[in-house]
Amino acid sequence: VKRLLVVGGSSRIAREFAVLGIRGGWAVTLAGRNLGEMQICARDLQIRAGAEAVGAVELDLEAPVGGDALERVFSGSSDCCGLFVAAGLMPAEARMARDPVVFRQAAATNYLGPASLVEQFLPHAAKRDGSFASCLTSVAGDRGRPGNFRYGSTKAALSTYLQGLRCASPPGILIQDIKLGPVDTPMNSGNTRAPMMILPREAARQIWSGISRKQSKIYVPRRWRLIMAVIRVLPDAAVRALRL
Amino acid sequence: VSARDPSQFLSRLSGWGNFPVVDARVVFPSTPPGSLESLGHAASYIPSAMGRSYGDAALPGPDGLSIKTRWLDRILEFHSAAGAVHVESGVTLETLIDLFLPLGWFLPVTPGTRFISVGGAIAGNIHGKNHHKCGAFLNCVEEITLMTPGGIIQCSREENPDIFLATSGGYGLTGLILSSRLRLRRVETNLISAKFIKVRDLNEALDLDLQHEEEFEYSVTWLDALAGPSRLGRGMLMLGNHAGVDRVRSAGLREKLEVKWNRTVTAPRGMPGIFLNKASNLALNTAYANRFAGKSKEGMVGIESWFYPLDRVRDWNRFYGKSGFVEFQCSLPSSSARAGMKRLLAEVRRAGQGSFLAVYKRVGNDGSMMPFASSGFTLAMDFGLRARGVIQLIAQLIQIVREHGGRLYLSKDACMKPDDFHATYPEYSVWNSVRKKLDPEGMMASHMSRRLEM
Repeated sequence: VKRLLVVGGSSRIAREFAVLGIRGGWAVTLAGRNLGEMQICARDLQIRAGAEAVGAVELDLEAPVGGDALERVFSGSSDCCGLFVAAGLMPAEARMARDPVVFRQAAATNYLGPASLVEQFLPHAAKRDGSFASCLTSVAGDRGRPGNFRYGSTKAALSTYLQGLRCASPPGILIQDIKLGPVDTPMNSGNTRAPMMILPREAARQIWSGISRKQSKIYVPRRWRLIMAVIRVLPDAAVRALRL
Repeated sequence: VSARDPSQFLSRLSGWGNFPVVDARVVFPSTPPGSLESLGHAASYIPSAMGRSYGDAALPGPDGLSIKTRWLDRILEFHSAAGAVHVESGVTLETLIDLFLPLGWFLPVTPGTRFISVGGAIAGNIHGKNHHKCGAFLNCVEEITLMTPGGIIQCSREENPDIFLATSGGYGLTGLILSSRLRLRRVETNLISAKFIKVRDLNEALDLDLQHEEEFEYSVTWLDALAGPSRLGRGMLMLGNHAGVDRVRSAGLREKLEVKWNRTVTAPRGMPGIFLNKASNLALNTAYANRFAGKSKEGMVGIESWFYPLDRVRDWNRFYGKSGFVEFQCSLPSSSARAGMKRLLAEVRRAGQGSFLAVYKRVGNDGSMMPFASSGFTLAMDFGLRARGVIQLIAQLIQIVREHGGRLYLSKDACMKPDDFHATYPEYSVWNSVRKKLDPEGMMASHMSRRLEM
């Protein structure tokens, strides 16, 4: 079997991604901070996707990832050849500005944790056709904007890391950067400004399609590729005036 | 303080009728909260899921916090041999049908939309076209896990039965439903064997309905609320049963269980209310009344078209425009139903306020502590608020309902006065004594509970 490790396993996109993975023949293990929650999500997946068994392990991306924690994650799954990191944290910008602890937490969960996890994963990963390590980053990382630059910078760091790693690693495993735009998830639930949201199920479908085409960087929803191409080249004065 | 504490947002909220509208704080927990306070401090709390109750039942009171349960949507357990399912409260009826109908399990009770949550279905003790035979949603609920201001409580018919019966049809006022155990029913196919009969007037409709009582599980009558005095109650009686495999084969069809939802269209945001007017109303009602030639018609109908015709238009409430609409749904006891419905329809006609959608059906016993119906009939109509005089008309209709010993459905009401509520719901005092034990300080409160002085 091919095993897929889904980190941030209670997230909406992660759960939909796992359902499609199970239907596509993958065995799935969910990883997250709260083991109890992971077990509940694993059971839910089993019922929804008709899987025989879904694994659940504890993994906290805020703590240094490596050594013991990782051994535990990979123990009994030498067949692991897919990694999907959906964990992320988006506190209000004002809270991050006020409270450095919150800012650090966001940086650890959004950048340091996923980056070191991918770092550890690659040597462990079974080299097979179709092996991949995918991380959810954000369109917020494409351009520092007044409304989300603290969050955006943590995601930009991860994108930069993945870009470099891709070039430094021997080919074989797909290292994928998924630039996420507005998706209807708890993270965006209070965000009435987010236009044209897509459902988590559709986001998961687009990600799997990107993986099967071995695309190293994709925008989900797709149209955000174009939107961000424009926003990236706007001069600062325009960003300021438009309050983007 | 953690970055993971759920964030609160300020939002403009309304029910499905877009009336009334309140500005309030909202929180979207993505995992079951440890306590109500962990969601943030507030004067009071009220759960809300899919926003499908029409009036203000799921809107928070002054300085209250709205707890949106839509992300608490995991399936905790499923026993395929028994059709027993344990779900978190935000799981929708659509999800249950998608997952379990292919295995031959369906909802014993379903309303006219699949876009509602299980928690909401329990809180409003919703009912369907088989109310007179199968009762309300409570009848398929076996256990509820409830978060009260004092802590988490399990309740069922055996354990804390008073809390169980008060929470069902309790509109979130006994606490936040975290999860529940439901019992689904077996069906053989995804089809309904249906019969449609045109009816001349209310008398004929009621007589035919009673005549077919033994034969059909589902029964509902669509009414042309614009029909003149001599044809008061003209409409179409719709009867149906779940079709068995034999029935489907003998109709020359192949039996299937999976449901293929009809393609949906979405009503645009900010639509003006001018499209629902007297002329369009007349055209629609006349077209519907003449759907087929002859007196009656029989055939196979998919469950998606039988139960959820309006789900084809997502956000159809936008057709009523910015001012919204109110839904009037009352139940009347059998003894006075005929006279009461005639007076209600006559009053609506006199006021010149045709209802775009009007249906009535027979009802049985809700079974909850504060039931909407015990036995008799229910009549439902909606009125756009663009037209003048609607609120006065509803006040008159409420008066008629009171005179005939009926009551209004709280999931839909937005207009009753405290006096109307207390006069028509004598069970309130018993229900309130249970609620007071769970919530002595009144932490659970809604716009509705304040309006009705509950």
